[in-house]
Formats: sequence, C-alpha cells, structure tokens
Amino acid sequence: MIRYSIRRLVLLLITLWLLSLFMFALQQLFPGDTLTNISGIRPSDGVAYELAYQHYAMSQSWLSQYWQFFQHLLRGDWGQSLVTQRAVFNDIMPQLGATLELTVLAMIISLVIGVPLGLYAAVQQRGPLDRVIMAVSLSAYSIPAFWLAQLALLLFAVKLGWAPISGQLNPLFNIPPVSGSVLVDIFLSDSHYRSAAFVDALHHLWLPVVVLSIIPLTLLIRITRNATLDVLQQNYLRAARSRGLSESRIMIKHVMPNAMQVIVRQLGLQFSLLMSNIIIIETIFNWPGIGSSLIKSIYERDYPVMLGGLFTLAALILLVNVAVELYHAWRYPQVRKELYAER
Amino acid sequence: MNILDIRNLTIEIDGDNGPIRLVDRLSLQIAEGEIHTLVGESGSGKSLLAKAILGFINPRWRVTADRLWWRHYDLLALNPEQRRLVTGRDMAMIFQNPGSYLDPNASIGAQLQECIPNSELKGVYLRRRADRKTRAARLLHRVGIKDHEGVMRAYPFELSDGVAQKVSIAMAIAHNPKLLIADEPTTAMEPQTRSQIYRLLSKLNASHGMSVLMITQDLTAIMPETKRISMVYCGQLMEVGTPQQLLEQPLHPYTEAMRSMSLANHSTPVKTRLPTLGGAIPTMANLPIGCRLGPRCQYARRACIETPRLRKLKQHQFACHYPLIEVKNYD
Amino acid sequence: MPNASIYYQQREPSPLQQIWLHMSANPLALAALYTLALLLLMMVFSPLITPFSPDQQFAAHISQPPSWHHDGQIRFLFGTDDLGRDLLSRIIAGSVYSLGYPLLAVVIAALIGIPIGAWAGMSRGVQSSALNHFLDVINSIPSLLLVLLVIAILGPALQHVLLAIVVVLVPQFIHSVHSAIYDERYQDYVMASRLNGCSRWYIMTRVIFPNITAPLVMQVTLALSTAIFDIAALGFLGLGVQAPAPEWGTMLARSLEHVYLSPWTMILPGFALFLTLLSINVLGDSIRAAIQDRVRSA
Repeated sequence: MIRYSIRRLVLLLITLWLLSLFMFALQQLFPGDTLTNISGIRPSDGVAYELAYQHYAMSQSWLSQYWQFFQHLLRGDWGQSLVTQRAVFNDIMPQLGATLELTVLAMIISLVIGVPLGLYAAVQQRGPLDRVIMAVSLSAYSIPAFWLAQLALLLFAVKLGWAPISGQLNPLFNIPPVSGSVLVDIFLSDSHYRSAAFVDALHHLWLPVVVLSIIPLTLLIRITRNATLDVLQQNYLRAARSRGLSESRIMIKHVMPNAMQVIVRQLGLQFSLLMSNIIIIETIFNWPGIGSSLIKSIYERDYPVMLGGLFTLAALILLVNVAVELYHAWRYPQVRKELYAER
Repeated sequence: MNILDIRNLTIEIDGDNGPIRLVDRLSLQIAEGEIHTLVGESGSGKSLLAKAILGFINPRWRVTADRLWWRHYDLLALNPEQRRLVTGRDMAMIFQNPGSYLDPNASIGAQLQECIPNSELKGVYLRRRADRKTRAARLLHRVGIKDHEGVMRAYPFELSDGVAQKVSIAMAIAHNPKLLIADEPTTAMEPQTRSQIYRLLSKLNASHGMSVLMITQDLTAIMPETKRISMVYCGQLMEVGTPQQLLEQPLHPYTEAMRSMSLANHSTPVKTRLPTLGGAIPTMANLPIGCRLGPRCQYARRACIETPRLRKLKQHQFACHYPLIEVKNYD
Repeated sequence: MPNASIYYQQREPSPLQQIWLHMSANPLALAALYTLALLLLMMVFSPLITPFSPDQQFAAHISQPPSWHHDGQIRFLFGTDDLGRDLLSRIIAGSVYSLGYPLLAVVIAALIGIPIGAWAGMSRGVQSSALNHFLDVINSIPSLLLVLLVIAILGPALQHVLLAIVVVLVPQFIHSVHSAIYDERYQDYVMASRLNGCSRWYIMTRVIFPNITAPLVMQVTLALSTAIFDIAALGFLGLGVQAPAPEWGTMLARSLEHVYLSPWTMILPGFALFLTLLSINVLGDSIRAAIQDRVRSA
C-alpha cells in the first residue's frame, strides 16, 4: 500500500507540474500582451509594468520565464484581475469555498438517496418499481442541467416562491466571508442573527443543491443497480447462501461492500461531471463560486482570473481523483494486486 | 438408514419448443456416514441436483419430486425460510474454483468467523468475540492449515487454489453439517492437492460421521472410501452400485463405456482404436426421447425409445432394457 | 407450394441480427430509434419544412402563446418569441446547429481518434503507460472546461465551437479505444492468433476490433450526447453560436429574461434538447445492453 501510495502521489505531483507547464504555454496562446495576461498589469501602468517585467524575467529565455512563473504560482501570487485590480488568489479562495459547499452537499445528497434506490431497484429487478426508478433516472439523466435549473427556477422560485431566484444570502445579514462557504461563515461569525441567517442561507441553498445533485444522483442509481445485479450473480453469494446465512446479513455483509467498490471507483468521474455542471448552475443561480467567476472572466477577457480559475478547478479535480483512487486501493486490497501485476 | 432420500426428482425449464427436462426422474439415497459419488459428464445435471437439494432454485425451474426428504423433513413442503434454516444447519457445499466462492473484499478470518453459529458461543460480547476467533483458528487447524494467523489475515486473491479449497471446507464444517456436498472440488487441481483434499474429506467422514456427496466427472478419480456410485447421463440415472460392482461388472453400457475409456491407457492392446462413445452429448434443446443414451449406444434397440425403469439386483441398480449380462432375478 | 425446409433446424442468428432482436424486443429502445431517425430527417429537410423563415419577425404577433393555449393561433403552432419569430421554425432550423454540428464533430473526432487510439493500444512499454496516464488525466477533466478553454483562446464563434468540441472529443476517443484494445490484447484468443502467426495489422483489424464494438458504440453515443450538451451549454452561456442563429441553447439563454411572460419560449426548445439527448442515451444504453447480453450468452 505504501509503495502504491507513493507512486500515486508522485504521479500527482508530476501531473500538477505538467498542468503548470500547460498554464504557462496557454499564456503565450492568449491574445494580447503575455505579461499582462500573467500579472494583470497593463503596459499603460508604467512603473508597475517595468517592475513586473523584471519579476517575471520577461527579457530572459522562456526557461527562466517559466521558473519565475512557477515560483509565483507556488507563492500564491497569481497576479491581479484586469477588471477589479484585486489579487486573484485572494479572490479565488472564498469562491472555492462557495463552490465546494455546493459540490459536497450535492454529492452527499446523491449518495444518500442514489445508493439505496439503486440497491432497491436491483433487489426488485424487473419489478414495477425497478422499471419506474430506471425510467425516471434515465430520463432525468438526459435533461440538460441548464434547462433543469431554469425549470426549477420557474416552478419553485417564480410560480411557488419557495426559494429566492439567485444569490447566496440576503446581504442585510452582513456576514463577513471567511471560507466562502455560507454555512461555515455564518457559524464562524458573531452576528446576533446567526440562526436567522442560517435559515436564510438554507433557503437560498436548497434549490441549486437539489438541481446540481440530480445528475450524479441518476447516474449513481444506475451504477449501483448494475453493480448490485452483477454481485448478486457471483459465486460467493451462492456459497454464502449455502452456509445458511440470512438474506439480510448477506445483503449487508457481502452484497453492499462489493457493490460499493464499483461505486467508489466511479466517484472520481462523478466529481468531474459535477464540476462541469456546477459551472452552469453557478452562473444561473448567480452563486459566487469559481464557475460563475470563470464564465464572467471569459466574457470580460480577464485572463489572470480565467487562468487562476482553470488551474484551481483542474487541480481540485486531479486531487479528488487521486484521493478516490487511494481510498479505493486501501479499502479493496485485491485492486492492488491488479495494479502490481505486470502484464 | 438413509438421511437423504430422493425419489424421481424432475427439474424442467421452459424452452422454445415446450418444456425441457434437465433432470429426468432421478433418484438418490444417501445413508448416514456414507460417501456417495455422483459421476457424470458436464451438462448431465449433477450440479443441478446438488442445487435442488440445497434449495438454490432459480424461479424459472420447476422442481417436482415424489419424495425429497432430508431425515424427517419433507424439503419440498417447507417454506424457503424454514428450508434455509434446515439446509444451513445440516448441509454444506464446496465447489470447483474455490477462489470465486469467497467474498473478494472480506478477509478470510471475517468470513470464517461469520460461519460459526451463534448458538455454539458462550459468554457475552467480548468473550464471544474471542471465542469466535479461537474457534476459527481451530477450524483451520482441523483442515490442515497450520499458519492460521496468516491465512485469517489474508484476502481470497492471496491464496492458492488448494488452500482456498481447504478454507471453504473449514467454512463448510463450521457448523458440523451432516452432509457435505462437494461439487467437483478438485477438478482443476494438481493430483497432489487433490489427494490432500480427499484425505481431509475422508478423515472428516470417519471422525464426525459426516456423509459426503461427491460430484465428479471421472469414474477413476473417485475417493477410495466411496461406498456407492451413481452414474448420471443427461439428467437420467443410469446405474447405481458399489465401486467394485461398477468397475468390475457393470450392467449398463454407459458405465462400461466410461470404464473402458478410463482404463484404456493401461489395458488396451497395441495398435487398437481407443475405446470411446460415438457421437456427442446432445444439447439441452435436442434431448432424445426415451433412454437418452439411445443414439450413442451400440446395444440400442427399438424398446429404448421408452425410458427404462430403474431395476434392482440386490444392491446394484440399473436402468437399461438390455443389460450387459443376462439378468434373471431382478425386481 | 410445399415448404422447402421440412426439417426444423435451429439457426443461430448472426451477431448483428441478435443485437437487433434484442433491441426490437425493447419498446423503449425502438421508440428512441424512431425518434432519433425522425429528428435526423427533420434536420436534413429543415430548410424545406420550416413554415416561416427562422429570422422572420411578425411585429403583430409578439410573444404569441402556442396554438393549444387559448390565446394561441394555429398559424404559429408553437407560438412566437419576444421578437415575433415563429418558434416552430426556429426549433426545426435549430436542429442543424444542435444536432447536425455535434454529429459532424463526433464523426471528425472519431476519424481522428480511433486510428490513434488503435495505434496507442497496440504499442507497449513506457510509452504506452505514460500515454495511458496522460489520457486518464485528460479524461478526468470535464469536457466543458476544456471547451471553455479553447473558446477563451479563440473567441466565441460557430467554427471555433466546432473546433473546440473536436479537440475535446479526440482524446476521449483515443482513451476509450486505447483502453478497450489494451484490455483485449492480453486475452487468450488474441494470444492464439498471435501464435498462429497473424500479423499485427490482422490481429488488430480482424481479431480485436470485432470484440471492441461494444465500447466503441458506447463511446460514440456518449460523445454525441457530450457534444450536443456542450454546444447547447456554450450557446446558453453566450460563448458559442451567436445570438440570431436559432441554436437551442442560445434560445434558452434568451428566454431567461422573459420566462415570466412567455414560459413556452423556454420549455419548448429545452424539450427538443431533452428529447434528442434522451433518445441518444436510451439508444446507447440499449445497444450496450444488447451487446453485453450477446457476449454473456455466448
């Protein structure tokens, strides 16, 4: 396991390094002045531009340029926004918190609802409820996220008024952003209206989270059902039955862990999927996360912000994928054998 | 005294052109403490029979029998839950490819401990846990595994086939079953491992009075302690008798063919054709009527389109219209 | 006339027939197939069957509800949008953008990606494992993010969107073909043909390829639904096909402002998109199930 983990982590470092190289190459590709794209300082800004010119070693070879860029990247000095002139890194971190809040909640909801439904569908295979669950999940999976968000807004926010149309929290509450995640911020703040703010935040939160969780939810139902059906046909279940174990014990002790293995393996992919949907959902619900700021920066051609957002999202996805793989290999030892076995 | 008594067990499934009889009126009796061997080629329905005894019945099968008794229980009359309790308590089964019959994501120790029935444990929670562990270790010792700690910590993919089979036997005997059904337990194993498994099974048979129903393909590779052999072909019972009767004086052409095939290496004269049974095993969809051996049997005559009754000559039973030696006093 | 085949013989249907038999036994799959065929026909003949030009504005009929609404007119079957353009015509014409272009992108990406993937799958050693890891990484990054990146470099325009989608789909094709071949090439039957002295080309085209049709078909349907989704999403975000063009995602984005007054301008194009995606997904799913079933029963 240690050997495997080290190998995985080294691969992750190499990949992150390649990502930084890729980012560096991208800056040359973007239209406009390269230094401006990196640092967010315009050539008209005489002295600051000269200073940045030296900082990023623009007069030297591209190798030392890259080295300077890499150091800035590590230091968290990601330049300043072309539009707001604020430091990109300081802006992105609370956005990351807001994005993660949505993601984690949506993931939890889809796991808590999706896995039991999938198990149930598998046990009731070809029964009426199985058919209903599968049909609903297949059609829900085909609904484009932005249309679903619009429909949800139309129904719940406009017609029924159960949720506000956009935003994270009523600005009257004046909660200072620390982590970016509303719930955590409210918890950390010393406002007198903490409980009221909490309710208001949940009021804002539930619709985007539900919309966001629909797609991983439907996929998880399908994955769980197929995995469970597969496990149910395995020989070891027959053997467990021949030993006279009760049906519920077989379900809990043998079927679920083995079906979970397939689900865990798919979690990284689910997370990637969630990330592409969150860009759209954040834009529609005006959620102050990385996704919406990324889209905004593309409109405004604000390259430092765009690069920072891209890098953060890509790094986040890579990290989550590696974490999932490590957990998978740790929890399910026979995976490691396949990984070691040289072919 | 027979502990297992099966009369005319029939298993049917629905095919494209009407029902297909996978197992056709098969009878089997096993006495207490007996080692009984069921010999048949692949597809002869011997594994189906084992499954029907244990009650793993696919809903698409129709299982009927004149009698399917285990001791004093009529298995067909029990509901699935009662049946699970009875078979789980009294019977156990081991399989070919033992590795695939172990849960890949649980350690051997956990799986072994799971098999130990609660009723045999004493004390409260912590005592019980410790007791479970020592009992699991003892089980491994009984099947001849000395390094119980290593094996209990291991996962199924880390074990060799022989050890995995020993572990499955340990699990099978955890609740002291009265009958062990062994479905080709050694087919894919080296002769060395096979004799180890056989020795283990016969030891368990001798020391615990556990009956064994051994299922195999090869008439010559039977356990030496076998009391009786049943020959099955395409779901029909061909002949039942002691190993001595079947190997020295078979009455059924099928047994004779199997025997001469197996003995061919030793006793065939130089430059003669190796004896085989002509033709191939019929597919499930095209089973012949009457005696299913008919199309491949060199002694077949017109009467063979009717299924022969199982006839008895002392302890030797056979189902053939034209037995190999003239038999007068059968009933 | 006497029946020529007196003797009933059991014939095994060919693999393709088997897949068809399996699919046609499933009414949902058939419905999806016919829906998709209908949508494709609609796309091909869209200039002929649109009742009005998609850009024609009827100043007298601004935000006309659909015909089944009690204020609607049969002349504008699906109603009109806020500029008085006929919605039905726009949806039909939009299928070129929302179905035709993704189809084109998938074909181009498949033509580029499959040969490279096959070559990569047959290569071995460090080169192969490095490639494998690299493709894994690319695949774990969501396609929308990569498309956005390409758009950010090139700027929003129709041809750039197409290019971006192709650029994103090619690694996906390479990855799926590569891993499918990688899984198959160590199977015993491939070893047997190698022992028979077959050339690598023969092994790849005749031995391995027929056995990876299932992942390939799945990849094509997946790529198609990804492409449709991404083009529509870009249109929705205002970064793809630009405004007057009747692309479904763009229409949805536009409807966002008038959703209180004319909800049908949002519901109908979205429904067209949903129907297209659904039929593709159902079709892909049932083809996969059919192939799996055939492999399992063999």
